[in-house]
Amino acid sequence: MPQQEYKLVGKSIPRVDSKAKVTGEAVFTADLELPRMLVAKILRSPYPHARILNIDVSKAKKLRGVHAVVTGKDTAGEKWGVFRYTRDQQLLCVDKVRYVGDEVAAVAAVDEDTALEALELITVEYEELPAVFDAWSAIAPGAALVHEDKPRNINVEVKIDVGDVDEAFARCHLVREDTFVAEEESYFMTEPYAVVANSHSDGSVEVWMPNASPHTKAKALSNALRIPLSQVNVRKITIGGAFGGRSDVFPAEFITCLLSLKTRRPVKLVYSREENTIATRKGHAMITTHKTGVDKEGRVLARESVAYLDGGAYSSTGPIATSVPFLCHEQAYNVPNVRFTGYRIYTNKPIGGMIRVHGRSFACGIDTQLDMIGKELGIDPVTMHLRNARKAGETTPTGSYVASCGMTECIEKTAAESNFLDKFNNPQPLRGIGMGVNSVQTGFPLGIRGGSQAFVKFHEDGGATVVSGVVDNGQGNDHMLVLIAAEELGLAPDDIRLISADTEVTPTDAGSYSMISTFGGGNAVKRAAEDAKAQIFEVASHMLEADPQDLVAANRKVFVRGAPDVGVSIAKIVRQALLMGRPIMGRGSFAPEVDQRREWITNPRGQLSQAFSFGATVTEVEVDPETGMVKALDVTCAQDCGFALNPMVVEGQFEGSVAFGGHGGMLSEEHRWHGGHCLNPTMLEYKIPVMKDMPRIKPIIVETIDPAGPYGAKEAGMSVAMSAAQAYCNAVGNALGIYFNHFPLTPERILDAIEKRKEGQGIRTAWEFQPARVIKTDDGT
Amino acid sequence: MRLPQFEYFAPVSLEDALKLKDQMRTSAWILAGGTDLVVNLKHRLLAPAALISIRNIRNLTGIDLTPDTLVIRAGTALAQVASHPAVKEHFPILVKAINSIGAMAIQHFRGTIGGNLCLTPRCLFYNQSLFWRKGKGSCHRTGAKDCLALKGSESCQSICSGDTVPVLLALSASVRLVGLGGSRVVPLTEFFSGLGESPYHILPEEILTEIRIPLPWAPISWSYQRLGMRSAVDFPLVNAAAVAVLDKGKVEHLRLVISAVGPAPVILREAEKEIKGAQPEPRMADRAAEIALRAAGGVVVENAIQSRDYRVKMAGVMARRAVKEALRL
Repeated sequence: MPQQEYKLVGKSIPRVDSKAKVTGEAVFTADLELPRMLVAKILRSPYPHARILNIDVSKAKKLRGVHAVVTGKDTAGEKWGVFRYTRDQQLLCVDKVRYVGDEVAAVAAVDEDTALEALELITVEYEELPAVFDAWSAIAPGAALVHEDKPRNINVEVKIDVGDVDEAFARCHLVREDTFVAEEESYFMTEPYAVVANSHSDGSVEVWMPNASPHTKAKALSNALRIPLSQVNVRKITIGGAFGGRSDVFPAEFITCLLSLKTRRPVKLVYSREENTIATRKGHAMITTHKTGVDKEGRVLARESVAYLDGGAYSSTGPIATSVPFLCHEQAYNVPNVRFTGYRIYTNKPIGGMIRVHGRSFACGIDTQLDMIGKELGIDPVTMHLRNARKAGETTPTGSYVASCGMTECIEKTAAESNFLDKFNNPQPLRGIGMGVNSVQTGFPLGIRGGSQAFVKFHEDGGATVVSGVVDNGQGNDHMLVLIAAEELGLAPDDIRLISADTEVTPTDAGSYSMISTFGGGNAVKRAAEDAKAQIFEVASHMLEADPQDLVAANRKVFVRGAPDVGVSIAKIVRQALLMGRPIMGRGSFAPEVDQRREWITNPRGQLSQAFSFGATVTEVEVDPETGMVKALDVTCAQDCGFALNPMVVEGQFEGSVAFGGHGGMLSEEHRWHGGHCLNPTMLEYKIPVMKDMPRIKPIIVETIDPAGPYGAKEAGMSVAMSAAQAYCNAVGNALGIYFNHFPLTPERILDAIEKRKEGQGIRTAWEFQPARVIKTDDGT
Repeated sequence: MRLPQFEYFAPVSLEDALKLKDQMRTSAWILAGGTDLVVNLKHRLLAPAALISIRNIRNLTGIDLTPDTLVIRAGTALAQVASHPAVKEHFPILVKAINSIGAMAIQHFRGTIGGNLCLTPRCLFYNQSLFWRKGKGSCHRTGAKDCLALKGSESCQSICSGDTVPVLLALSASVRLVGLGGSRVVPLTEFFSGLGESPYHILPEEILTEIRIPLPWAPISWSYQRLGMRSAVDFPLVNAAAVAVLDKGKVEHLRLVISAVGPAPVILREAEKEIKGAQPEPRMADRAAEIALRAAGGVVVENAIQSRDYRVKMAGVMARRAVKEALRL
């Protein structure tokens, strides 16, 4: 279909779910009420590291209104891990607790007050153990071990070495090594985590919860509860945000199911904001040392990066979280010789997971260092970025072919729109401008769950129902699926019903993490709709006495191209098809072309993703040198999203990305700790930005029409989230003539850097940190 | 999160409220909006036997202008105070302070001026959930004799965080405290105890009914400075207020207060003394900053989301800016 013929895609229209959300009609998990439903509460460890000596639940069990109490004894020590080799989290702790918040016991009672009272009646005897709270102390020889079988607390080690790094460094004109540190950030989704489980007498269990992949949740629950996969039915529910933080499986759903199975009643568990913060996932604190070598023109010839990720108590998505910061950069920049060693380190803190910016110290470190190199060579940031930018047709160091790439266009457009060079070359006091660039993958090899399938069925009135496994956790996936089906079938979005994200009914999907939903699920729905359309055309060709190839579907009609007035309604065709015994049933599937042999640790090479998005952001700020407070003035952001299926939604994603990755992410968002206690688990003291403080945002959509994406679409927003972080960082640095290397740039850090700033010391980072090095373990490996 | 159990009273007369308070003393808390109190109850920081809501007591809301005093009844909604013509005319500094409290919804629907003045002082180790505190142990406010923020401290070091506090103090306001036996007017200078666990000099049987601000005898020039990480939904990291009367090129009167540093606001009397009677000059702002820095250094502890060092420095910056603006330097 030529682009100019699109009726819906490519146009800004309101999302199909917006009315329900604005009016409050949308039902979230915590809103669910089922007959005879019980309320669950979890007893958590008050200690960062302790041995469980005894748990006495007898008093709690006797409390009137308590229906069940469960502990690790009821779980057979069942462990969860994203990978077979990372199964290290007991779903209810049996022997040890490893962070403040670890799940120790749970109750189901008639109401919340009773459940809370029951928790008070459980007595746990602990033997406190020495604990480790940061990567450096955790890897120190002799440090307390979070998991006894993991020496030096090393959870994951990712090693990538491509080209001849040492040889390349030797012929570089300039080599710099700098170390960058970032603290933990959190998601603060609008909806705190919640689970409802309803077990049935046939042994099956229904589960509702915010998720990024219903099928992954079902598989994990099936394994842990030891009931067949086909009897775990994860249902669709409105979800209030994910940002990477709903990708994993949590003890919460396991415990809620367990309580429901035990009591034979529906059970609801709703997390407090604090629980959502400490007992789901958070970002990793990270220390990254980048060593970068360039030629005289500033082209990066070699880079070696070593990163320590403070992973918290358990593995979670560890191998992925450790790799992705590097992978984004090998996509964004053309670096022929590159070596990366990433360690994820266990500490006695809440668990690190995937989060939008994927390692602030890594991403901002790369771009800060490029600015420093540019300064040494007398090359401006725009030229530095352009010279090193990824281009279409190239292959990344670890072997991903890049079919479409608008990186250069993103850099050029943001630079032109913001008047970057003029402002950079004529600095105003305390004003700064900075640029960041980045790239994100659309999915990665997921084995049997890597693809997506969809069905389309018709109603007698000509409306259609689309069935897809894709889940919408806030970004607008439902809208995307409806839009694509309506476009293909010549219907209006209102004519399409969507059944999605229900494991009993909907087919497999890769999940809405890793930015794959549009590329994978969108393509599957497009193919299912194309299949249905072909069947419609076949029937219509008899009715219109025309060749199916000459037919067009639009405005709920099918007609011969060029003769829209003499068409036949789709409703009529659907009924005719039923009469003919050939009901319209569309099927489609899509599996991205990736290298299924690729593995995060054992084999980090081969096609990672079939498509990659690229983005550039320019930020302009003003800094108050007395208080260290930053006022962001203007942000210009561009992303190559392949094709904007709905520009309004894409621009909304850009704006959210600037707020998340850039404004909050780089200026204020971080967790503070006192031992293993998070000092700011709630929204009051964890400073997510407010609307009032946001800058003007100028979004620029760049379209490269990816050959494999639906209508050419890839993903929308993530490359802005990441590049915005880098742009904010460089802008604040530019305002003060400081190269920051400790993030986020809170007022006290900015003030400290101003006070430590020394003239005539050359180009150096604000602080000297101990560099992250390859760890030599005792056994010499 | 659930509220603990308590009895709830919403008397329609002040006398009924006073009778309840007289019977129940410290086991009854006054609910004057609840934007702070309800959160604290949910965190199980307080366990009152009863809450006495003042929302139905008519003569605890409203603003009166007498020939020499502006009287704001304690239960008046913040937005009502900020939009009152007499407040806008005489005390725009108070309008500015109120506009920086919480968010619009808090100013409009719930928060009261009496509530903001009597906000429970805040601490990063205290304003946490019951679960959180269980792992950390108790403090002066939660039943022990220690302070988690400053080990060995003899009293609670939590932070007086109301935006109106330094402003009302700088305006030389006083409060009326009423008990069954009668009422008394206490200047704000004598209202704050400096102890986080019992921050106000108010008797267990008393209710704060009025805030009384004397009308200035001459035009005042003023400044309210507050530092927060966000421009809404954020308690001040430190704030400062200055109110001055400038006459014939001299500083006739000056009140300079910094707050959100410790359990009580701090009047910078040394700076006032140096500046009063003299001609305004830039040096004064720097002196005020030095004095504020020293004062803050003595009271600020490591118990807010930014470090002690930063907050101490910022006390200096806020005081300097307040003096600069109020003295029109």
